[in-house]
Amino acid sequence: MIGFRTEGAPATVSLGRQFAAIVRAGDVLVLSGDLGAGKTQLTKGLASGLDVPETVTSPTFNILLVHQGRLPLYHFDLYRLERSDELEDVDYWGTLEADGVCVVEWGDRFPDAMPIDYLAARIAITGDETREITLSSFGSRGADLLHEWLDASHTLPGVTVRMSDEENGASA
Amino acid sequence: MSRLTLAFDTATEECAIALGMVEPGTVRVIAERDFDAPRASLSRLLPTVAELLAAADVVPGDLDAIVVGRGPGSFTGVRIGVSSAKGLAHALGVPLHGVSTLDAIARRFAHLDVLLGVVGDAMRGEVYPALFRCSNGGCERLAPDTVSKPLPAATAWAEAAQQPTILTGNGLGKHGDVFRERLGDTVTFASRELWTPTGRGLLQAHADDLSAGCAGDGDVGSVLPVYTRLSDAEETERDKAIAAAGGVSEKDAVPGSGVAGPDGGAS
Repeated sequence: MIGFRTEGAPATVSLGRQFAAIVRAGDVLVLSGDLGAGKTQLTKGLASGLDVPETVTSPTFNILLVHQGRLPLYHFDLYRLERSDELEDVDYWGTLEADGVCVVEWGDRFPDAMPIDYLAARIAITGDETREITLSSFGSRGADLLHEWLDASHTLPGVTVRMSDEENGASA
Repeated sequence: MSRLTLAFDTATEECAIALGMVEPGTVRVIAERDFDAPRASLSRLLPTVAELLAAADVVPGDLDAIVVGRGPGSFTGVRIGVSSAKGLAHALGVPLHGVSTLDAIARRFAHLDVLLGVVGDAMRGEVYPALFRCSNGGCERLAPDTVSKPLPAATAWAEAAQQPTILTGNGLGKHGDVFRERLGDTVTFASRELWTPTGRGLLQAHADDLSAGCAGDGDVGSVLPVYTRLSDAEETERDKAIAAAGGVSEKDAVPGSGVAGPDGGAS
C-alpha cells in the first residue's frame, strides 16, 4: 500500500495538519473508513492547519459544513443523500470548484460524482490505536498531492510512511 | 409604453442588478449594481435590490416588470436568481420575463462589430459555448444554449466558416488555453471584468426580446431555469424511458422532467 500507518489519534491529526501545508484552492480529499477510524481526526488536523478557529464536527446531519480559515474548508458528508441529483441541491459541483479545500466523506456512494483530480484516503482500523491510511490519487493534481503529502510526513511522530506494496505483509 | 423594470442575474459569481425604463429595443438605465459575490448571491441579492430601489427613490410597488437571467450558469446561482424573481413578481403582481445569461454577457460587446464567442463555465470540465454577431449596438445569437466539453466546442468554432474574433465568459478561466490553442492568434480574449453579465446587459437583452416579440407573456410560472444539462438521475430516467419506448435513441424523444432545455420554457 501507499500511504501511512499512524499510532494514536494525535498522529492522525498531525497528518491532517501536514496536509494543510500543501493544499490550495480547488483541492479535494475524499475520505472513507469505518466509524471511529479517524476521518474526523484527519479533518480536524486539516482544519487546524488551515487556521480554522472552531471545533470541527461531522457534517452527517448538515451534509455540508463550511469553515473559514486561511482557505475555506468545505466538509461534505454525502451519507444522507439518496440520489445523485441531490448533489446539485447542496451546490456540490460549484463548491468543489470554488475558492477552498474540500473534504468529502461517503464519496463512494456517488462514484460518478468524483472530480477529475482528487486524492482518496481510506482509513482502516488495524488495532486499538493503530490505523492504516491508504492513498489513491486521481489526475495530475491528485498525484502531486499524494507525493507531497508522503514527502512531508516522514518526520511526524507516530507516523510511518509506506511507499510500496512490499511492506504490506507485516501489518496486513 | 415604457415600463419601470428591475433586472437581476446570479448565474455566475457576479451579482448583476439594474433598474431601468424599458421599451422595445430601448433602455434607459436608472441605477445599476454589479459586484463580485462568489457563493454569496443568496445573502446579497435582495438586500442590494432594496438598497438600489431606495437610492433611486422607488418602492417595489412602483415596478412594472421583473427580468431575470435564467442561466445557463451555476445551478445553485440560477436557482437563487429565478426563485427570487418569481417570489418578487408573484408578490407584486407584475410580469416576469427571462433572458439568457449568455445574451446579457454578449450585450457588453454590442457596440463592437465582431463575431463573439461566449464561453460560460459549466463546471465538471464543461462549458456553455454560444456564438453571437455583434454590430450596430445589437447582438444576434447564432446558436442555441448548449453544454459541451471545451475541446469539441473550440474545434467547432475553429472549423466554422466564421470564427469568433473575440472570446468572453467565465469558462475562459479554466479552459482558455484550449480555445487559444484551437483558434490561434486571430482571436482576442476579453479582459476578465467583461466575462460576466451586467444589470444593464440584462435590460438590453430584454428590450431586444421585446422588439423581436420573443419576451414571453410575462407569466410567472412559465419562466424556467436554463440548465442545458440534465442531472445524472434525469439522464438515467431518460435512458430508461428511451429503452421502454423501443430504443429510440433520438435525444429529444423524451422531454426533460420539468427542466427547460435550450429551447424549452418561456423566454
